[in-house]
Amino acid sequence: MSNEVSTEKKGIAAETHISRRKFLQILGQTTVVGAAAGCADGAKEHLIPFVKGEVDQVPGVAVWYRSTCQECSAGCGIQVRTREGRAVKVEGNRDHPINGGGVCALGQASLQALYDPDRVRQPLKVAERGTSTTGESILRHETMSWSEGLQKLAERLKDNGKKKILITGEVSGATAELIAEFAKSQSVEHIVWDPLQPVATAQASELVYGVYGVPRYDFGKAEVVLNFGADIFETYVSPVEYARAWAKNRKLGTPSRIIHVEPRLSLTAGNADSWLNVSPGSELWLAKYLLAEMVRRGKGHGLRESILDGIRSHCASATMDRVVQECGIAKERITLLAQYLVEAKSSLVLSGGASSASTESLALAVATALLNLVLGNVGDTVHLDAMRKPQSSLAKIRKAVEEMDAGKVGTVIVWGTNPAYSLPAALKFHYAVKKVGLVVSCNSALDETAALADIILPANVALESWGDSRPVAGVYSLVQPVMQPLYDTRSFGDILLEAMGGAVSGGAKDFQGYLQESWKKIHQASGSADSFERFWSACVEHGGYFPQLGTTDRARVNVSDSALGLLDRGVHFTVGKESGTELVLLPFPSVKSFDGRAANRPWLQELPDPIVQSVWGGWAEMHPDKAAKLGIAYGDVVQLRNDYGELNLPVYLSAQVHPDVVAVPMGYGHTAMGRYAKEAQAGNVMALLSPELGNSDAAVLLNSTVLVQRGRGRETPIVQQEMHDQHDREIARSVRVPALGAAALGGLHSNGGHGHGAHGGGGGEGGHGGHHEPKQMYEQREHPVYKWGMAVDLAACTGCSACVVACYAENNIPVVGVAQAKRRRVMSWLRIERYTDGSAEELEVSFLPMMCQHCNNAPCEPVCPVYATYHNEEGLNAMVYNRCVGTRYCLNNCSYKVRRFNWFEYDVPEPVQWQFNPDVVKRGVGVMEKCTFCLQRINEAKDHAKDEGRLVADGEVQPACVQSCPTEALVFGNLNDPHSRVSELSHSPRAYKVLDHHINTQPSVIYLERVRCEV
Amino acid sequence: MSHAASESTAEPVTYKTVNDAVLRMLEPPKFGWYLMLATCLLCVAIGAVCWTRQILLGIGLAGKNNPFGWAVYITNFVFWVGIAHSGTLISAVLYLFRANFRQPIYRLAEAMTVFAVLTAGLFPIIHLGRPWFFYFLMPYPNQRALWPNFRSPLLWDVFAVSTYLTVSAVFFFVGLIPDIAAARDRAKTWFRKLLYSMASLGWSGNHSQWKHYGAAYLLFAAFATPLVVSVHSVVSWDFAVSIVPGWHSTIFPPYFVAGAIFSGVAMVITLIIPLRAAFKLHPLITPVHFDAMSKLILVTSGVVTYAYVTEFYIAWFSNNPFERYQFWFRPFGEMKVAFWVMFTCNCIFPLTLWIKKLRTNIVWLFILSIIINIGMWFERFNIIVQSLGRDYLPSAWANYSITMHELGITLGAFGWFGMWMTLFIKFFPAVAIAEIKEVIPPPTRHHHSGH
Repeated sequence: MSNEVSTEKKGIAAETHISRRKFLQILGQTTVVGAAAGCADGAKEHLIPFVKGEVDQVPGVAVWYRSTCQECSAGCGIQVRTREGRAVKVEGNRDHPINGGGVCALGQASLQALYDPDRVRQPLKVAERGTSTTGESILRHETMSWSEGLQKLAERLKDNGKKKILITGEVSGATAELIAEFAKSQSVEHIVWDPLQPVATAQASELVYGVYGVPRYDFGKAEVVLNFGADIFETYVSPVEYARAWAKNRKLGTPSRIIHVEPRLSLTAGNADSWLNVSPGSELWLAKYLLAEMVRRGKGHGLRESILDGIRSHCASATMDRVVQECGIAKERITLLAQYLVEAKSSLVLSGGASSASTESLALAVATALLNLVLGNVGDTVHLDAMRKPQSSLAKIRKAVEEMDAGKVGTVIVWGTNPAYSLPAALKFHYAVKKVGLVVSCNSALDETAALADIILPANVALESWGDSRPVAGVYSLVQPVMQPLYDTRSFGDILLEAMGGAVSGGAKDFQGYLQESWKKIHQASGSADSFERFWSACVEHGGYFPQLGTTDRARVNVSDSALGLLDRGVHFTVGKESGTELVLLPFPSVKSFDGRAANRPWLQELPDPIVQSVWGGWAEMHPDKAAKLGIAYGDVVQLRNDYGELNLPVYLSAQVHPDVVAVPMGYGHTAMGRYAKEAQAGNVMALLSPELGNSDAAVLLNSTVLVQRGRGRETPIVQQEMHDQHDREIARSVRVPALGAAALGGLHSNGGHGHGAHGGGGGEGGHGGHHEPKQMYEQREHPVYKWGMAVDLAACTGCSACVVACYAENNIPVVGVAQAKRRRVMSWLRIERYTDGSAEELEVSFLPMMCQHCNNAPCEPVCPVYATYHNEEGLNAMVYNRCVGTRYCLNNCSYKVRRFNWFEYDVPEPVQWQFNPDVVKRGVGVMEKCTFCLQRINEAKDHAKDEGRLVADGEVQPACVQSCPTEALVFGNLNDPHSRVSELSHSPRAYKVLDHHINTQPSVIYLERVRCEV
Repeated sequence: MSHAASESTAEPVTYKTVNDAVLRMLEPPKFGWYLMLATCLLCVAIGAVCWTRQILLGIGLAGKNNPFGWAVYITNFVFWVGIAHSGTLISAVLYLFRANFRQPIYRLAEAMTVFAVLTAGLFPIIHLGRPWFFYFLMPYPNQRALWPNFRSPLLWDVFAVSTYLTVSAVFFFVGLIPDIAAARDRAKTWFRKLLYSMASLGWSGNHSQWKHYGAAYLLFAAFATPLVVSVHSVVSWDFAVSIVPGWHSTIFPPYFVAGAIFSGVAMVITLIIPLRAAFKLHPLITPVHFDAMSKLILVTSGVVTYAYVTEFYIAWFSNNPFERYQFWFRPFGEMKVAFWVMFTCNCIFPLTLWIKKLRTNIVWLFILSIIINIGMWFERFNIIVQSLGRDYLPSAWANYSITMHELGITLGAFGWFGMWMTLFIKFFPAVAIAEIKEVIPPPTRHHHSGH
């Protein structure tokens, strides 16, 4: 690992260090030139930014730029691989304190925001809007120049007659500073809207600890983690960071036990050691009971008596019987949970996620904060030093919508958020916004909000912009452009600067200068002896400035009575006027859809949801018993209806959803945004939400009930894996950590995928290690120098699917679209299988990354009549595309079904092809393909090594999936080298090979059993 | 004993009636024949359109996907190879065993063989992802370092099927020579005269020619006989050599050969009954022949049923979880209809042939022969599709749905086969004149029974 870092750094240094400054100069110049050229009309398209080849660019050699991912507010460091001046791959920055090398699926797919074929390519104004005689809405834009657009905006801003509002997503750093200056000088109200922000948690921190913000959690230290619905491995705050912390100790065999409380099996629930499937909205009862119980058992003795008294009195109603009744879980499990919290040396309590986002979200968040307080976690596993401070506010945006509706608003500017889609439709944003004088969209996509705008001033995407991200104290993460803007777009900062006439502090002419001015303050605070220029270029090279922070928790515990009073409230749901079978509607975000912000990215659309395994479009998830009662079967379309709207969705039946809940993923059913977003149908769940405000500023998601009926027509979600039962085949295996306080894994027993069966014969048995090879009848293959192999530590795999998207990006894997996905022709070389074994009480969920196993005895090889696939001397199962005639016998005979066939030539609209990795050939129609272990990366490393007269070092080759993994669950290397990490892992007592003991395929992929804690 | 042909007819069969009956078939066609040909050509056209589209757009127009690398096209391939089987069996093996009931039917069976192989041979090419590179499978010297993989059963297929086509075509042609000469002697148009003159290779019917002819025929019969066993055994290795549960089975070669004979004989019956009615071949093709073929069906049906049962038994006995699941899935899983169609058609309906009356009931035999062919098509469909749909990793399990293009090409295959058969019966003697004459009394002044 470390070896590769140094090579990479050297690469950057050798190729870019001297020219870095020059690069900046030129970039600055080109920005100015671009701005000047922008004044003249006409579309300008720069796909190859460095025409003269002066800077950095050596044809055929990749250049990496470090930046910060702007897809969510986590602030992960990335490094972007560019070839001939265009970005081809996003990877994690290994030196970054937030993510440490991994990037999630959404971050990987940020390239597709850059190369979005439906991007707004120049400033637009509405030419025609209305309704045709046939009732279809008409929207036609015409182009305009930047000067015209900016002038329109500037004129409006001068008019102080009516209110001016700027709505953005979460912002930080220099962008936030500029927005604040803009808001002040132009008297604009700045509102942040991001429905997934954990605002309730931040507010509860203020009420309980006296500091606003989401605390920093130490997952590694906590022995027991009680999680009320926070989807920490999906969208909650900083999923890559959390997954990394979670996995670290798990791999070492000293895992934190995660007990997850949520009325649906989410990805996070699936990774928990124990999952409590409670009634929707009942979490508060459980939290209150636990609070009272902890106090009863003498926890929180350091706290002021008034707080403890308050807890006692306000939680008195939560008796065990009441909790059992409200939550619908067994008494024993609650008792055990209380026992665990009492006995754990260190614990951590979290809440959040969609299932906590009721109108009473603040009450649950306060209860959570109090639990942490009582359990003594503050300062131990809950740190108040580096807090995230979300700004999103449903209350503010709702008020803004009311003002718009009242005709009080003259100007609305929107950037980085899509309120027309992501607000509850019942708020009628789309209606209110029509009464606004001038609506300006700066979004790069023509999304639902942009469709309502009068003018569109398209901002650059993050990969084309300067900026920074300061998610928590001590992390100053830079955003730099990795290539010139594809189209005639400008950075949002520049748009603001132009609109306000450049009158800003520091006198910067453009946003890049503004950013540097802002960083001069950081430079001063750093106490660095270097000049600012040197400091700056070092920051650009490293991706930011990350000073080490000492832990300085400063909790000012002052629990007000009103905060405690929140605990008295119970969660209620808005029930409609019509009667019938009402189920609680649970909208939920997922790793692939989030809140719908990335819907026009085909990689994400075609990525199977790790739980349901569906692609392209939404569904309604129901319990089979409930569905049977309603006469609904798989294949039916269900109609969800309430006072606010109606949705027709294909139903997915899952025993892992609470019977009172109908769960619907967020992010589908776009009516604008682009071809892929519109292709993924099934409606926007926001149509069914009541416009109610909660007691916090957070988005309210769990507040409505819906009537569920069988709708018209038949349709199924486009599911890529239908069978989740392993049928005792021991594909995904696990070991158990017996009881709380158990030692390392050495003495653990392994027990197959099911928890009861013994292993079959042959190698790979748990407890004996994967190195126990059975006797072979035939001469074995020789691998003189390298034998490439991969270890997959299932203990660390959360199923987040980042690797799958990374594989798409690296290997030019085609996206097949809805029609072909329905025929199960998704081309992904790597899939995350989900298996679910065990009983409802003790559910065992496994995620298993499955890629080509590069078998020593590959069943695919002998059956190919034309030698298109063969075993090479480095242990790779190689494919010669040109030789393949497409008999597909290899696919049939592949026991792992990892081969993918090009049934058609797939459509690649301009400019998507610019993302293609030039080192990987694009396969034609009628040819078989599959995982190559990223052969191009192996060859590159071998070339380097050969130049230096050595062998490839361990960790020097990282296939795309390995690189992207947030938890480093995937390890790649040379199995011939006994000291390589992969060799060492292959001798782990947890090592096994899938199916090998049945069919002696001798895979080169070694799996390490999942670690389950008995709870 | 040798009077099989004459026993059931009032009029004794003579050389003349044979000549008349058979060569009458070559007379200028009537409306019915044209209708038949037009129907076949229409089907061929539909198939051709589908195939053209598939070549232009991609094999994805068929319903295959992951995990179904093979489906309807390979089903059709195995089906047609199976049909091709009984031709050689009837002509060569029964010839060597001196089973005389073969004589009136073997010519048709041989023709069916050649045309069925012509049809079957199309499917491996149709199903390729890149059919324009089908020649990559041929071992020929080239400068692109391409050499086929002799370990692959698909390559064995190339040899097995091409050998079978060659041998059966030659055998077929050799058997035709004396009859073409007879046709030549009666040909009225210049075209036919020319065609037959060339095709009969100067046959004059003298003694030495007959002697050489007999030796050559015996030689080819002996040469073709092993192919009866080999071709379908090799085809079965396409499956048996793989490791797919439901394919990987040592019983496959005999099971496939028996199935092939079973379906081939059924197809002969399907073809010969309408032909017999249309051309009034009743004197030549008598209930005795149907009775014999029925018995052959009964035997092969039994073998096939035994093979089915054995597969289930082995799946249970082996305690192999993958096999066990596969054989539970076939009769009870989501695709169970295909299994029960196969089982009923191949194992239950043929049992009716234990009844002697039904063995000679032409209507029932015709219906049954079609039922058997449906059943045998589904047998191959089950083996291929059900096995692929439920193999090792449950995550990959799926169900199959057929597309219009697959149906179109399947229809086209029947049209293609029918087209050749229709043309054949008008251009060549569909019943072996010479061989029937061997078993009837030679024309003498006084009729008396032969020996």
